Amino acid sequence: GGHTTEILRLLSCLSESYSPRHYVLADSDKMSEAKIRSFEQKRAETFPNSQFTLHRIPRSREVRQSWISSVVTTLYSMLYSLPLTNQLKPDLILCNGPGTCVPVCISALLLGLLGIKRSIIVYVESICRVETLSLSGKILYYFSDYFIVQWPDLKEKYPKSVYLGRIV
Amino acid sequence: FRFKDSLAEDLRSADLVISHAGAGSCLETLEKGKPLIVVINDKLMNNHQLELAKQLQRDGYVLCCNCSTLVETLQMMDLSTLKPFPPGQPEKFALFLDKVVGFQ
Repeated sequence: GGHTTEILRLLSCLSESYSPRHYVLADSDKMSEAKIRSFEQKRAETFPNSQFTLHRIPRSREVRQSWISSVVTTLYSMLYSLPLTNQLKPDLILCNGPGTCVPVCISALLLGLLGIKRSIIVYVESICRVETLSLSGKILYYFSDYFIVQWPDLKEKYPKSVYLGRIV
Repeated sequence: FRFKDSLAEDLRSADLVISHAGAGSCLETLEKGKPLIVVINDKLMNNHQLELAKQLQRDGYVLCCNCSTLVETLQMMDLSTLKPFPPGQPEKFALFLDKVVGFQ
């Protein structure tokens, strides 16, 4: 819920050029689809040629799931995210923290290493993260092209990050 | 009530909101310009929720208390000390992203 709301706010000021948009959700996510459709419907009023699709992959981690089992479930999600990312070959991947982003980003990194497609990975840490990074954030800080934080404390702790103030 | 799809209606008609420290609850309330008291439950809450509540208090947007000090807070509160919460700026993100991607 929170992640979806935030990412839709991030998308709210993007120009028409950011199209087509592919949303990747966890299969067990019941709430995001409606929010996304509502957002895209509204967007179509201004940009009638807007295109978007929804894709689902297995949830890579439940809240507070143990570290070791998370590795296993993330690898399982990658069985889906790798062919999906290969099919879509995105120029840009925008993510903001749910476990779902990890298999997608790792897939993109692999495709980049194999010389198949190099995607720009932009990660925006949640506004809730004031002093510490989420687990996805800790992982993707090293693997994203741009890592954006929304509070100054985090910019100090993670100097390679970008601080633009509050953007959601 | 136990669960509603949206609290927007209730928020609109409220004069004061007392809430747990969930980010969605806090931010939605602040964006509607309503005074907010955040009740922190030390036993249930995970640390990460506490970060946002503490920061919002530090910046003067909310009052924090815990279950046992709630009554005292309500009696002694001066809501005029709360600062208005400026909205986030997704346009800054759009500008940044345009540069990154090469659309200028």
